[in-house]
Amino acid sequence: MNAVAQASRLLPEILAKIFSYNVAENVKWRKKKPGIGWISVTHVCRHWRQVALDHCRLWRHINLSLDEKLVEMFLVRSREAPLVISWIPGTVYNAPIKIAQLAYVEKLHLGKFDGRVEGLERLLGSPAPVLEVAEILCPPLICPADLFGGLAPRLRCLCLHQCSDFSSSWTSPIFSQLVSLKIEHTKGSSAPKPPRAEVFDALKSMVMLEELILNYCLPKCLQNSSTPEAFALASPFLQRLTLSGDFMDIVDLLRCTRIPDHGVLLDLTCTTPQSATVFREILPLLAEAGGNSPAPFSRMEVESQTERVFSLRAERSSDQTTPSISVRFEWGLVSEWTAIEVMRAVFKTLPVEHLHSLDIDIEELSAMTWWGDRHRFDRALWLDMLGSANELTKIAVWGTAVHSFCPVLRLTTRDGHHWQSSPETTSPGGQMTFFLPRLKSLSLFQMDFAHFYPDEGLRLRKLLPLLLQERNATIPPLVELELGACCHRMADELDLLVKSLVLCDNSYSEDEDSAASEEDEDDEDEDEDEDGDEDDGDWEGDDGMDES
Amino acid sequence: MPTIVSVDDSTVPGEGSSRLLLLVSSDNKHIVVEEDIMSRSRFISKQVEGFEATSQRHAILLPFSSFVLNKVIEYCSHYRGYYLLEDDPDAAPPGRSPVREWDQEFLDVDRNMLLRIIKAAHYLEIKSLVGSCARAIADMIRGKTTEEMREILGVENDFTPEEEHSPSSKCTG
Repeated sequence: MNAVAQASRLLPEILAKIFSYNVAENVKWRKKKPGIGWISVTHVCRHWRQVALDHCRLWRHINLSLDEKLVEMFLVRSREAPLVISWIPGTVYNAPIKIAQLAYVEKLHLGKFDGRVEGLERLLGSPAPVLEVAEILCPPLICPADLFGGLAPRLRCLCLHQCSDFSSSWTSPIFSQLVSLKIEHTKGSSAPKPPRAEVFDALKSMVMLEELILNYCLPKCLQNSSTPEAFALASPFLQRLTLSGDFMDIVDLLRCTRIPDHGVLLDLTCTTPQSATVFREILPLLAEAGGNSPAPFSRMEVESQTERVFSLRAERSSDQTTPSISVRFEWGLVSEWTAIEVMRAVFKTLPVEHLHSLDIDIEELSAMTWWGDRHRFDRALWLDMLGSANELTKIAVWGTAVHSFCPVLRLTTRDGHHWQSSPETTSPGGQMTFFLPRLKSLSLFQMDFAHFYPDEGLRLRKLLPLLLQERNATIPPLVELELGACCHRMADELDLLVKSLVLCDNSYSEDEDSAASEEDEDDEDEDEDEDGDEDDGDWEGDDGMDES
Repeated sequence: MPTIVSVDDSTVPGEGSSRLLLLVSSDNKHIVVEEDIMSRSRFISKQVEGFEATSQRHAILLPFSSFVLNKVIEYCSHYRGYYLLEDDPDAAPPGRSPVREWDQEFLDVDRNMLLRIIKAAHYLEIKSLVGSCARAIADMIRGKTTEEMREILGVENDFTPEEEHSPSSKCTG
């Protein structure tokens, strides 16, 4: 029957292709549990078995967690095919590694393990002529100075986690071809810092690098080093740079890094005695990196939970049409002074006149300087920082900041003749204002302004309908309004207000933003006119409600 | 090997924007198809290069039925003008390329038809179609017992009882 059965008559290469799909499903790279269910194809018939045995690449995925006999069988059947070795040592404290050399290993993934892996140092010292990817997450180990015997010409990705002593390995010649390098220690690790000169020399050799992640293993910066040296990291392909550690060490490396013009993502986590100081050091470096570009970064996120630890993510993208800033200070452990200094530095780095999206979440600031006069979130400060942010289309403000931010919004009333070039310092009423002609989405959360600023609260309630009413004027329509987590005293009134508002049907999308040409805007206005006619009735009702 | 026969020019009017090819199936059906459509087939492309060298038009005889051939032409027509990584001889061998939704529907056929299509695709050297068929067959047998695999694909167990019960095959595959 097999002589005529279609499946049996399939050519070996077709059958092998079919099997390879099941191998790929069964034995995924990094998969914790070894999957060898696919080998049951070898029990179907002689032809299938022979095909499977003849195609050594089917056997090259070896999970060392398998039984020793199975590992041996896979090693034998894979013959000289490049191996993909993975291993999650499990719970055995003293786990011996089941391979002795890396001669045929193309990918090596050793998972996290708390115990000691016997033979690992020896294995990592052996030559790896076909190794392309190495992820070694099972610490602690002493990394051999001659990592991979200095022979890993095809190595592209190297990841070492908790390597207790990597400092002597930076002189290894294996770095030059790397595309991705990730070395991680945990915060507070006692591992010795690597020699700066050796690290920088190694980085210089990595001209293909796309991703560099160095977490708490940066070399100690030079003391009194004020003049930047030649670029240590100058790969034109760099796409992601993640650095964690002392801010001086980070600044040191950033000074010697040439950030390419194309898209790049910077992710910095700094420990520092004072966040604000750090921002004054780091952000100018980032601005310089932007060259002549008006907006060096299309997205910047700052997050800080304490005065001494902050993270900064800055993305540089070839698409710089919608720059955005997100600032978050949480847990009440950051002082108002720090928050303000950081924000000033951020807004200076990413010029606000190009800013499209702003997300500020200042949940609660430390009371340290809450009542200080000079450094305080007030309208003057907002105006100073954001007075020229005329392109803003989306604003979300949370927490403490909303108290001082809301009143600034009063500027965007219907009073058209005040809408001149910004910053506009005063309105006829003597109030400080700024102009947001393109605002489409407004989210205000945790408003308790009725408590802190009762008058402003009242004005805001009047403002919002007026703001929305401008759909028929030159202001693009506000299509999304979100008011959340308000003070309960305001909740009922706000609910009533929101229910009475008729926003545009289309939900807000950042893609629709300001890239629109004048012509588009004209069209939009015409469309709005049509909608606006229908809404006028509602607005009259709203006005009446507010006035009452 | 394909048999190549001379064809009268009137049968294949091939001077348009895309020349026409005459494909002859094993059941002797003559199918005219635009060369562009079949350019995904390395086999056909090589044949056409041969025609150009001899300045003669030919029909290409293929060793599978018109029913199968029409399915292959349907596939090639659907992806006409599309770049598929698997078909690029210069590209690195693809890993697990994404499952194309259309392919799944296209290959929702009975077992025998699926096996015939993969053989035809292999013959015509259309790697993307071979890959899609192989994935479909792999999906059919994944997670199945040996007996179920035999039943699904109509394969007879030709192991001797001794071979089948030997410790080596039982324990280690």
